[in-house]
Amino acid sequence: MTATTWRAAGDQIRMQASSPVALLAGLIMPVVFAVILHSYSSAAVDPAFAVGIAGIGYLDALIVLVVVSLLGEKQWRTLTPALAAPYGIVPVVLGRLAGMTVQALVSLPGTLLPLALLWGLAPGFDWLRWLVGGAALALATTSVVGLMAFVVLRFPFSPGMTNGLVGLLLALGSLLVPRDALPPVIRQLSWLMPQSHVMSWVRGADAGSLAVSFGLTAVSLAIVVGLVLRLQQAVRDHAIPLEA
Amino acid sequence: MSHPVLQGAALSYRALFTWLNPLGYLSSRLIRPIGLAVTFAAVSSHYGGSVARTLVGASLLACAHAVIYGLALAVANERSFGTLDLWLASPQNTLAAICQRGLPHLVDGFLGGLITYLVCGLLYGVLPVPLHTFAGALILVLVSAFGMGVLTAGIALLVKDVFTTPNLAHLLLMVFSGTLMSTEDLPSPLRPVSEAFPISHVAAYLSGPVGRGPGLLESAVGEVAVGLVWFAGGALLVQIFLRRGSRG
Repeated sequence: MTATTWRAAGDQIRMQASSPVALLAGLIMPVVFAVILHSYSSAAVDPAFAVGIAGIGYLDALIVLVVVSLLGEKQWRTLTPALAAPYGIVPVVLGRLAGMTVQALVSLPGTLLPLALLWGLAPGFDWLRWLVGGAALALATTSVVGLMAFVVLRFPFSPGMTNGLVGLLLALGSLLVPRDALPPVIRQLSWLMPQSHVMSWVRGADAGSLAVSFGLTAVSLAIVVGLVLRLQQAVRDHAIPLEA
Repeated sequence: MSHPVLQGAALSYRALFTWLNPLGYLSSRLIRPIGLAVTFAAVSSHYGGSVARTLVGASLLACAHAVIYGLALAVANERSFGTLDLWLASPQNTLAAICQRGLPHLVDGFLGGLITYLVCGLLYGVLPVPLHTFAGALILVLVSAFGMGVLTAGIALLVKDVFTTPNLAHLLLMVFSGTLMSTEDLPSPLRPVSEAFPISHVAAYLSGPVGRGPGLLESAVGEVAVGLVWFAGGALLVQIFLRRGSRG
């Protein structure tokens, strides 16, 4: 099972590493958001600013990659042989998601560089919070977007169905502002999002926030695995077609 | 719907607007703009800016987004479905056909902008400008966004990728239209450039203090002029690309 997961992760990176759409989504769009955000704060770049902007890149890139990669698997019917294998499609999906996480991580240094060149880094820039927060946010984002992977696998794809996710998760993940600044309804919902707890930690909260984020990330990933297992069982039992 | 122009517009909307499915429409035309509006209103509130100005701006941006993407898809999807050659070879004025295809997106853009404004107003418990004023602003934005949409549709005749041009147009609008950030915050050489972008004149009128900002007539004329300039650019591109295409 592990070997299949590694291979799927490798395949993901090999096939999509230079995807222009993913690179555009992961690097250009976050910088535009940074320009707008900086017009309000006018401060040098601190870890919260840098990680939040990288988080927009993660979201954009992961959503594009999930759609492109998993729809490709469905269209090429490569998941059908995997279904016949003992471990089924779970290691393939997890491997794909792992590969996408690695790809999305390009946004962390890839957005910091232009931000630092444009506005400089804040004195005493906390590199540890930037690095750990950036990595934790990538995992958290993957776990949430992983739920979308299940939807893409299970249901026929409707054009445009993923367009709203960036706006929605951007607000719920409190990537650009602390949770307190969100409207009450959104603030309460955002507590369920692992991204918002990572961002709290990056903004200076204690390690408890990071622990909560890891817990929610694990729960979200477990739900993804559970849903994919259930789908696999349904496909095997009832021969639900997996066409795109 | 019996008029041939409206019939053609409705047919193109059904056939070429691929987001016309429950999930795609809800996600693209409602959730996305509302999410962005909430995010930037929160940014504005957190940094002591004007939430009202951001809510109005983001809602106007939602309207322009719908028109520009709709027009781009109305041409680009002909290529996706393999019917671009047939359409261009038919005895129909291409520019007029593009305009016809834009009609449903004008309605869509108006509704999208209005819904975004009302939902955000509900979330923040405030309607920054009266509804009839906002509706008037939306109509002006429809004019200027339509001009830019015709240009993106023209580019779609040449560029194979469906989403690059409208995405780029949207990103430029986010920065230069004065909706999500004040044009005063742009580097000084870029401030005059912002006046060439859709929404900028309406946004300046709605966000400026009464009596000190641009007047209503000045803003309306400015917005319509911006739309006409973009439309002229789009019409020119369409003619150039059609001639280039007919030469093979």
